[in-house]
Amino acid sequence: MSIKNRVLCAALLMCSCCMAQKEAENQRSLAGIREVYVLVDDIHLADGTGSTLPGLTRDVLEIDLDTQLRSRGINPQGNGPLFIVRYLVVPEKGFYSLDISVMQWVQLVRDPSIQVLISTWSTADSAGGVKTANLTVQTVRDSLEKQVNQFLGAWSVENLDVKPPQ
Amino acid sequence: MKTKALCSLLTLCSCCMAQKDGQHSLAGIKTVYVMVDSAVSDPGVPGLTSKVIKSDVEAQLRSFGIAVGPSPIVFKVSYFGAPGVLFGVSVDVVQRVALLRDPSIQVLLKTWKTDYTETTGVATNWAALKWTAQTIRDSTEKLVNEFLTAWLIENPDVKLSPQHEVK
Repeated sequence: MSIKNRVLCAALLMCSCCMAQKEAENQRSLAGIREVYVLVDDIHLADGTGSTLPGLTRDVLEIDLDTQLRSRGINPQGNGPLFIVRYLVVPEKGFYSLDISVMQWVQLVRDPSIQVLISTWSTADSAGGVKTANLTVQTVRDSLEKQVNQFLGAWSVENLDVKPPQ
Repeated sequence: MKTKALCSLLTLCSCCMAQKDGQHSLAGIKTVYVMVDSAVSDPGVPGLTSKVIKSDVEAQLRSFGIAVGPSPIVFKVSYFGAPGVLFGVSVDVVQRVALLRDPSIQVLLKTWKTDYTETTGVATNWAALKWTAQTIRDSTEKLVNEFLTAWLIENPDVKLSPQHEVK
């Protein structure tokens, strides 16, 4: 392996270690969550980019989400943290992006009187945009399922006592 | 009742978006530690190093009276992309926070962030983007200015030097 490749591998390894550490840190904010309030947001960029894919509606994604969260014992229509799904599709370019954020109210440790609503966990860093030759409704639904599984994986580590409903 | 709750939630959301998430978290910031994310950065642009960016950012912050040095508040500048094709710049303010629903859970989080949006969306002509050391430094400067604008709103008692006072 050339020196250049070795340096590149070391940089990528360092990068993935940093991300893993960061994810583990953020993951702790999922402890104790038993209910969330789901918001699905169909985004458009400032230049108007972004349109719809026939058959892809917020309702479709909300139903998928509802089923997936309930199956693990999380109430998706509760008063808990905001569970935000943002998606953008550009069918003519075969491009889509989708990410999940969990937003919660926090207080600064240096000054607890300062309270803000911020994203405490998200898939945004790992999700990014995807260009695909065959963009269908199913592609976006599969991406959502994969990312919800990512959330559920992190959530279950922090909520070992929760048993899925029978 | 449910509709009312939803309306207030949506109003709350849009207010938060309008003033950028977490802007209040900038209140009281006097010192930050500037970190340039070299793990994912170092875009390989001639004349551009993390040291140059760090020095630019520190000078910009100092000129507004923000001290730079060891601090639990991290001012993080990151770069990503591929030379000649696409670059993104982001600025994050990272601080330790406690969850309001359970203050025993404390995490280190981005409480405020901004980025150069052209690069994160679906720019139609990526190849045409001509990134040079100067354009990246200029983009970083714009993002730091965005931070300073938000910071000034949250710290109205700050006395600006004559060069920054609004005429």
